[in-house]
Amino acid sequence: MEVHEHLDRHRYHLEIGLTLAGTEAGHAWGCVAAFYSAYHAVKFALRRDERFDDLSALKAINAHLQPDDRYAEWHRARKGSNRFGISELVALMYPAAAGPYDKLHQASIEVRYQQGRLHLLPPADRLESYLTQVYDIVVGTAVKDSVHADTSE
Amino acid sequence: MNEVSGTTDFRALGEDVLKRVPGVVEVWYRPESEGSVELRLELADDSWEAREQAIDELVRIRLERIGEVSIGYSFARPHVAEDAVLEQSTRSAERVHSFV
Repeated sequence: MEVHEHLDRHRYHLEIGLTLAGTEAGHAWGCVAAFYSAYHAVKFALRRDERFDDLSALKAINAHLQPDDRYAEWHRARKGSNRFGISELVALMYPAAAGPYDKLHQASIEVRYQQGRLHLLPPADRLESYLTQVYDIVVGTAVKDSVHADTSE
Repeated sequence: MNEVSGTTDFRALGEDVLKRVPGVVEVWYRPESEGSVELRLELADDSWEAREQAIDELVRIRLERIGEVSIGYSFARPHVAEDAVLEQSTRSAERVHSFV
């Protein structure tokens, strides 16, 4: 997927998520869409983050980081792999976003793999707040001195 | 309190770390591979607010141990964690700690 396509997918999931969130029938899947909106914002940020072009900058963050980590696909390090997953990269590269990102992820897990009970999901306003925090932190960090919506490379 | 696991992963986390998670009453542990662990946590309060607080601490723990152990986690409904483990029996889930 091209870099700008991650931002497109972020926006698509954002629109769906915020449309469904708070509705009786759709809130649960609104949580899933919100998480994937955050996921694609992170993917966009990782691809654009210039720290991945500078090995010494990466090693200053964590000795195990490698340039190719910007292309991570898995939520967490895979079994038997010493490579980081997205959740771990968020914690390392954008630590202030790790809390809201994990909250969105756990809400998505509750819907997709558990019973998706509403009292175990964030309300719509908090969902939007998590998503805004993730986007502002990860994209704001990775794309410095630019309007967040700027997708130019 | 039960302590079943004596693997490297368990020692990498430890009781003191798990106890930091607010509201946790049971932790089930599934070693995945060297340096990787999946936790399943039961909280005293079955609510999003309780999960939210627990997640904040779990995120801190993940960051502290990053590069040392890869930590995944999910939540179990109260009083059904044992069922969850039975479902995962073929994946070697083990009871680690009860904090009640």
